[in-house]
Amino acid sequence: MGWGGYIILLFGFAFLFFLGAAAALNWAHRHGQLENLEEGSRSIFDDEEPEGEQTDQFPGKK
Amino acid sequence: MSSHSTILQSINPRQDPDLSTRARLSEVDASMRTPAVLFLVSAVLWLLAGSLFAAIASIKLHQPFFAGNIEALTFGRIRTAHLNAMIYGWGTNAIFAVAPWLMGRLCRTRIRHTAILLTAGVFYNIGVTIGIGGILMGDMIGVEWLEMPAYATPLVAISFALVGVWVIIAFRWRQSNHIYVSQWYLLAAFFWLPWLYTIVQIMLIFVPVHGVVQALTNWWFAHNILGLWLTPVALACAYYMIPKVLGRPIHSYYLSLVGFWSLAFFYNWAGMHHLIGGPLPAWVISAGTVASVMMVIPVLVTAINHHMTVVGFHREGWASPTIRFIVFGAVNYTMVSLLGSAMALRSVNESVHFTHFIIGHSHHGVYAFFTMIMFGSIYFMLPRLLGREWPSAVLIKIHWWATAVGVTAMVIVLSIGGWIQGAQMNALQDVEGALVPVYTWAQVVETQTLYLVGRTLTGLLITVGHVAFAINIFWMLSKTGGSDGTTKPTLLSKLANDAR
Repeated sequence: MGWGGYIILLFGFAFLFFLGAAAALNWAHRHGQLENLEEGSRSIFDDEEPEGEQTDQFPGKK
Repeated sequence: MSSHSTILQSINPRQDPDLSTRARLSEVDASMRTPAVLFLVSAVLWLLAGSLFAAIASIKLHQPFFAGNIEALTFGRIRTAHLNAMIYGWGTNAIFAVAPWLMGRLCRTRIRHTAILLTAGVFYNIGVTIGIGGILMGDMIGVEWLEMPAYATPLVAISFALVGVWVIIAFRWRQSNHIYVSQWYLLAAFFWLPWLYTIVQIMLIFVPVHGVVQALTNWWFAHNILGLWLTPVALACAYYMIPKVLGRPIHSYYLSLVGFWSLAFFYNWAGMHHLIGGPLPAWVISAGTVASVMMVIPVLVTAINHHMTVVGFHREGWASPTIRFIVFGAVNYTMVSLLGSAMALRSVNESVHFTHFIIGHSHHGVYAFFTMIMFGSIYFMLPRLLGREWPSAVLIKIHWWATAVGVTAMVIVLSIGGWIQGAQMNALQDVEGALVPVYTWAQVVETQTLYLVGRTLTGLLITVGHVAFAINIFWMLSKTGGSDGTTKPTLLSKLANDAR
């Protein structure tokens, strides 16, 4: 395959990837992933490990 | 609990009877116990082996006749064994331990059918062992970071696929509406890895391309192992652990999403900065340079986020081993990336390419950034998996100081040495109207001896940290039963209360 073939193949895949990334971003927008960002940053906390509490220390220390 | 659900049911969430159960964090942790411990033990053993390979390689650079009569230890083989042991042995095993656990926690779902993860782990480590053994026996493939011989790579590729598929399935089972930024990074990393590996195997081994396209493909692959596999996973860990440990949400969640998407768009073009000055079309090299400089955007965004989340809480953070390692890693991410962007400029590259500066840079990235963040993640994860505390705070402190001081010193030593090396190699003088080199090759090499001894010494210091880490882990694993009666685990008191 000459260099022309490679250009088509590789740029073709790159373009497909770009479309995939754009689709993922679009999906995120449609499913409300890009709203309520304040809430989103808090989603890692819950009643077992609540916000405001440090959850790791050296062993044996209070 | 759905202990009788089949594998088919695992793939389709709609068929699970208790789909609506949002797993407690302690349940998630318990479900990953066995696979994570397997991957972790493998990772630590490879870390020790890789450190040994590194020591031999480093000593050989200033004592060329060291172990000179042992064929398997010749520099070309032992250095390659070190690279592969660190990237595929330590790094990828550590990722396979932490990433499914992190994905489970973020999705609030147990990791199901862990037997498949265990199988993948066994196959993977057999594959890597055969691969590195093959390298030492002389069967190395001449492609940077793909040196494991062809008889080992199918096992490795299958294992990549198995773990990746399982992480994505865990994502399908998510019980949380919001997809946290760490989940984006993990999903992306597990998508990119099989893609990278498959394409490079096809384009370089099975249906090989010709000429300089080989070098191009090689460095597209090798750099993206750093940028699209190690980096996203480390960032996923940092974005979770820093807020989680400190109990404060990320400073600007909006910025973190900007950081993820800009990384996804820019990082994959940056690999060409390895070939600056080479016989490639100028536009290819320029694309690599431009992408490397554009990476400043996600890097600064991440730096702002991490800094503003930690600022004001340095004292509290210092009390946590996880935060020490992860913040060290995050700060070094900023530094190594900004330095890297500078190094991608043609004018700077003229001085640093083919010198020890590059080795300093690679250790800065893979060690001071990625490895330190993985250490921090392991310090957070393992007590929660096992339901017991780390046995020794002293060993943690030895590990911390030895590795933090060691890698910082190593990077400084190699950067200074490399800069001098580049300056000497490029130095020209006018002799009777002609430009000739100022220094002979031998002079350049001899000047470097001091810095190479520095590399060996700092590497040995780092290895001391690794030994402390390994002792702590195996000690912790060997403790039978639940919590020991003497020390009350501080961070596990909540778990203990839940269990009653």
